[in-house]
Amino acid sequence: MELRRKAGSGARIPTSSMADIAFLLIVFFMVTTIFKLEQGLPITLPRSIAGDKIPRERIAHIWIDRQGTISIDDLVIGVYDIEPLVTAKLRENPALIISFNTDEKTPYGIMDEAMERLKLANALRVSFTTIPHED
Amino acid sequence: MAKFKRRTGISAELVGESSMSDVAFLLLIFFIVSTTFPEIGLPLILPSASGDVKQVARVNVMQIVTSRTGLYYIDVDTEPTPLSELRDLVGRRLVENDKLILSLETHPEAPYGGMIEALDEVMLAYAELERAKIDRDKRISLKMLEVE
Repeated sequence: MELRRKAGSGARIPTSSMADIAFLLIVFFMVTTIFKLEQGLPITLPRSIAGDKIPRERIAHIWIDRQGTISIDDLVIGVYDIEPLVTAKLRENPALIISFNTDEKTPYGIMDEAMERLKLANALRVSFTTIPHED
Repeated sequence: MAKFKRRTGISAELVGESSMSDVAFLLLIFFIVSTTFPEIGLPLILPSASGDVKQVARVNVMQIVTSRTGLYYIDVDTEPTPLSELRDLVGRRLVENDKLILSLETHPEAPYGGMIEALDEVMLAYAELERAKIDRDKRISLKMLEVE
């Protein structure tokens, strides 16, 4: 009698949380696949107090490092390539904001050159990316 | 009363607690995904390349010159102005003249960060005016100094 009763009680794997696990996996893979961020160039951003929030979905970045290397979409480009590249981007999104991620020690002359190219591409909305002041 | 008591005793409806940690993880990951840290920047509208050049009266322009070494000179001053005084000076001039254009002129070899600090002070001066309910359009122009 006792033996029989033992055979009846089988161990069960709970399946109630299966849906949660499935969701967890879906979300996990969404995170790992969608987030492909631009690597950019190694720079030290200048600090500001008056910095505003810029809507991310309207931003295209231009990276300029201390030596004056310019990078868009992780491609190192010359200053003359800015105009055609930005023109193409602007065609896709006319409300585009070009965000300068420039090292604080970059000579201003390079920035001026880059801005002149943006004017030619008619990309007039710009933003100078900064980090908030520590105080 | 007795009936009521019995009912509560019998109904042993438990909320499943085993999946609680899964739900917690789900929420955690959801919020990690959905929170994007906003990018901070100083927005500016550049003048159009095709736009015609306007003549502006000298009195309506306040020049803030950033030198090669990162010092600030206002208009034709020979003595540099410390950054900490820039905001008040700009604010005062903006109150006096509602047509004032702030021209940030920078030496091509000056560090970009120096220009940004001046621009920040100018933006803060505008923000202070806004707080004081004085309406001023942002008239900021970025220029590079011509050097031989």
